[in-house]
Amino acid sequence: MIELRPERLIPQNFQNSSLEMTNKDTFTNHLNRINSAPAWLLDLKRASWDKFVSTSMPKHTDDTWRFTNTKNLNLDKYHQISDIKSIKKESFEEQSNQLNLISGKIVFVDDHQCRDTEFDTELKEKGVIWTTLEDAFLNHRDLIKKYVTGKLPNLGAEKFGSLHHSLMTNGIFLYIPQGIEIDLPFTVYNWTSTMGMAVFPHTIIITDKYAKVNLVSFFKSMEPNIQNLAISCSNIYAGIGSQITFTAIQDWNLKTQSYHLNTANADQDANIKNININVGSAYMRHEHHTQMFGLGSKTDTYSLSLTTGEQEFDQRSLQTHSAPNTNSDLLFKNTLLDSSRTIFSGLIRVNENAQKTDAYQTNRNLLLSESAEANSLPGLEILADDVKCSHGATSGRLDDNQIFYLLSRGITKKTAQQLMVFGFLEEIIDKLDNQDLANRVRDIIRKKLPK
Amino acid sequence: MDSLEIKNLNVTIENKKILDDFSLTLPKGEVHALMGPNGSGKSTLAKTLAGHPDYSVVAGESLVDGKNMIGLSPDEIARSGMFMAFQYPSEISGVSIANFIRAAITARLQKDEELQATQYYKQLYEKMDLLKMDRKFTSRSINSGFSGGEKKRCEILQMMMLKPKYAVLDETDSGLDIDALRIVADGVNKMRSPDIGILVITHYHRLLSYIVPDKVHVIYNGQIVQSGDKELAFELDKKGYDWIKNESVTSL
Amino acid sequence: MAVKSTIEIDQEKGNFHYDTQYNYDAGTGLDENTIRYISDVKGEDKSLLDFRLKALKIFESKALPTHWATQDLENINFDKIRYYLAKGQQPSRSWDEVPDDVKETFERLGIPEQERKFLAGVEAQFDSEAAYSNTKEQLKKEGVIFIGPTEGLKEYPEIFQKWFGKVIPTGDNKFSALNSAVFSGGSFIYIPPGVKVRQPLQAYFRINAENFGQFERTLIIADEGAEITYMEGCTAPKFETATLHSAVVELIALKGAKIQYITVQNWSNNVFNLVTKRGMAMEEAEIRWIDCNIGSRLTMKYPAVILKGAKSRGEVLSIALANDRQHQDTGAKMIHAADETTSNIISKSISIGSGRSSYRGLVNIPKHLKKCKNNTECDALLVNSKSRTDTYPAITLKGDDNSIQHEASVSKVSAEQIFYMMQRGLSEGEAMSLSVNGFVNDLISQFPMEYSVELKRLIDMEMEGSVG
Repeated sequence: MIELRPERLIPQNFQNSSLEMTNKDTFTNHLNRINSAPAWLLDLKRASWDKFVSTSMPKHTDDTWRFTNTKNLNLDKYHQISDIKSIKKESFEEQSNQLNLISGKIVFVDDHQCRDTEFDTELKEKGVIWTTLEDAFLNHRDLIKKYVTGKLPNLGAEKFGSLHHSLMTNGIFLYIPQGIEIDLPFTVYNWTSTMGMAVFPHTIIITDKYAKVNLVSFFKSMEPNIQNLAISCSNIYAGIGSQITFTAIQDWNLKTQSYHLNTANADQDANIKNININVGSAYMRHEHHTQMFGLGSKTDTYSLSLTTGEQEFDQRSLQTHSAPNTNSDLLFKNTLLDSSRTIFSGLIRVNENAQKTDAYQTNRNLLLSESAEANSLPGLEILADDVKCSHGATSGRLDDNQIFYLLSRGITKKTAQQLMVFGFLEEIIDKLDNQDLANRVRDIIRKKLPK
Repeated sequence: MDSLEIKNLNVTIENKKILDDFSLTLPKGEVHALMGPNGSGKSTLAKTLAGHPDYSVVAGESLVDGKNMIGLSPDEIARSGMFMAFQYPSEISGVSIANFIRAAITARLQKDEELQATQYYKQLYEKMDLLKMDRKFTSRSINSGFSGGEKKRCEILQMMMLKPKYAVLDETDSGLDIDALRIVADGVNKMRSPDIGILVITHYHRLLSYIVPDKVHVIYNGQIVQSGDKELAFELDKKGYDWIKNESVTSL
Repeated sequence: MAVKSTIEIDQEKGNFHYDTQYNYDAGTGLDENTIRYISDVKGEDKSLLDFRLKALKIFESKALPTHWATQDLENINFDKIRYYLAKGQQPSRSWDEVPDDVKETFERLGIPEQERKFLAGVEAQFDSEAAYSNTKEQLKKEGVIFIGPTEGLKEYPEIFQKWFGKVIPTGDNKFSALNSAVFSGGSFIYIPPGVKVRQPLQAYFRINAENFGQFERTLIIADEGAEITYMEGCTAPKFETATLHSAVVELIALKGAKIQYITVQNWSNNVFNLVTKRGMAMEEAEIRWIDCNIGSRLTMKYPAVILKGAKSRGEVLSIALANDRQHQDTGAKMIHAADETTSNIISKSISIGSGRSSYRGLVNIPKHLKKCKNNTECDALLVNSKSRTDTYPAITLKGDDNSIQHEASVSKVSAEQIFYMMQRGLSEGEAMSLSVNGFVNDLISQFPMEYSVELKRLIDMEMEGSVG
């Protein structure tokens, strides 16, 4: 049995409160539990809860929920009570060790930090902040206040985003001071362990001028059969000339309903690379808004998905160019098996002043079964005239000729298919730029492909 | 009168002075070379003469047979008989070479004149043969997917078809291998006649071994600092531009 | 070297109108009485009146689609529109019998001249009713029917009723409901099995009166193995106030039949042009929409093909030119409903000045279909800094034996390109129109010859006007 770290914001004896997401007591109880939180945070939470209550559940007729099976969405059967005391430490210790060479590590189970923060002391001395939100609320109050603002991508899942901000208690805060370049990634593991538990992991990454950082976030479930609601939000701000790479490995179990709502904001000449590996969840909504507000900034967004069974991945992205000479690229690759569904809805918006913009957006879907379904809504809204923009979407099957070629070399059909799927996804894996991580991702994919 | 006369041209781009009281006279029937190091103002001169909107003429004149071109729109200048071969010709997809040149010729006709299609194609094919261009080129989009050599040959083809009074060849040798250089030079040499004045702008003397100029001018800091016969080009090649830089400093 | 056009679409040519005496006028605004009046004037039976009244209810119950479409729709004042205006005589079979003012209108637009030249049949609609309709004798002998929908229902009820409103149900959208309530004029065409009509049939739609709404209804049925090309042209004078054109066009291509439907729209700048067009292609049939949208204040039009029979084929080739203060909101829909069906969409839009163009597309290949294919290409060209372009396709593909491919791009006519061409002696307008023509060239080359020449001429004219 593991020792819980001393709770800071949340007292441990709250087992008696019944917490259903839509119940009006939920929020009252939550506020009671975090009464030591700063006043501005409580204000933000109250405003978010009001928004949550006043926003209705999505309908499939809503433009931002086109093609989604909205009837599968619900918030009723989840609570915020954890019984993490019963978890065996070894079970996640071992698995929270995907990368060997790292700059730091934080592990959460059901939104509670369950082991000490690992952190390269040299970096700490240079002024890098790598800590939990809980800690930041107490020890970096002024700094964190600027960045916990309730910001959402606003691509449709505002109800869920508001719920996140109302009930969110923990997450990570990563701040890199001016000129500090860090190559080894920071890693964070977000585990769920309790049946019915709702988690709200929050991620903040800030780089000051010319800084460079890389964060890898793992989202995993301890057991294959626990049902969880996960609403994760991340806000990234890349300062002038800085570089941020943020990789999210979404590997929840197949019973989880998950929302990953991300914003990325690039200042002048900054460069943000975001890579999403999505394999878990019964239903996943992934919203991603990249905003290039600084002259000459650049963002790259990549996603790899592998869906099986009845999984539904609902991906919505927006690339906003609001400054001249900005550049964005987006590539979403989905592989679909069984009766799974994917939705990709992407928009490039080039504002009037964003002249000399290059923007690209591509969605490629590989359908491997008769009842898989891929929906694609690639969009462009171009208000400037000196631009180069294009989008493409293809959906199709494995190439018969290529399969035949492999078979003719004596490879079995299953293996040939696997090779081709890897061939299809390798383009994204390649973007990870980290062999260790690439191998972990390949393992995850291999495990999920039919044997 | 029968000359391209550039008089005290002062040109700025984004308030930065590039040409500083530049003067040069190119009589019809002659070929002059303008040489100079990078950033000396060579390309600015070419674009200014063609009326590019990015270049502001603060003072000076560009006289085509006595008529000032400064202030005219690029197409008016072109129709007055001034041709520029671009260093980096634009790619225009969807517009075929044949249609483009035809449109350009038609723009030069009087209201009641009509272009004879058969005559036009006969001429076009003749010139293309001279430049060793495949006939199928006519249906390709202007410069779209062309190699460096193809682009420059296409520029010379247009010059041959439009028969300008004065032509400015801006770094026409850049991006050409030796075979392409020879073909382009051959084309220019065939154009030489008492009816045309040609200004060859180049960084290297290489092109000038094929197109032998009547005069060579050296531009530095937006001004002509040396003029001479074709030997100047070879001297320049041997001694390099630093020689000119030093010369111009000492001459001050 | 000038090739005479098939459809005169010179904008200036269309900018005139006559003070016409109308014998029948449903007044302004729309209610049950308007519908009863129209139905009564047209001498319709009760079933059609009921159809219209039901459509009115649907129209009234449906909201404007402003949650996805432009707010500009709210500027249509349905109470100020005149829904039916007619002189009240049967369409003339002979040109001489056409009333003088109407005749002059169409003569100025060049209609009779074209008919003599190469059309197999022509119909010219003046406001609500056809003023002139003529079909070559040979075609009549072969059983080709080319008349108005009212006559179609009266004279050929068995064919008409079988298909009328079947491809586009009344409640498909607010404007199809409006059309169903007040439709008048349009074409009913039937091509018997195996008859291949070599020359095109043409309809010409003319709005003459201010504040008028034109609501023609077209139904074309190509029986098994039949082939037909239909062309429509539209113009209206430039009035002070907005005018509404809201047509419904249904095509049915039975087994092995081919229908090609060509539109050149050149409405003046205050016409709201909200049109529903859809075809149904049976086994091995082919439907092709060629749609050129120039002019109008707002055009919303998304020609569709339902690929109902195996191996059927659908195609939409469209060009939209949005000049100053115009919004071209166009696109295409391909609904695959059988195996081995293929569809192709090529859309080119040009935004000039403050013009705005939007592409909306829908491609659906549902479950359990085999070997279906869709290809979509939509390219937008921007000319100068105030213009705007949007692309919103929606693509659904199920199953592992089909494929779709969608490519879209946005590019611009750069200042450098214009300068290059001007250096060769072209004026700015010529340079722009050359590059715009270059942009649409590969698409136009797939159009019938006479048609592409006219279109190029029209683009030249638009570009000349946009410089300065």
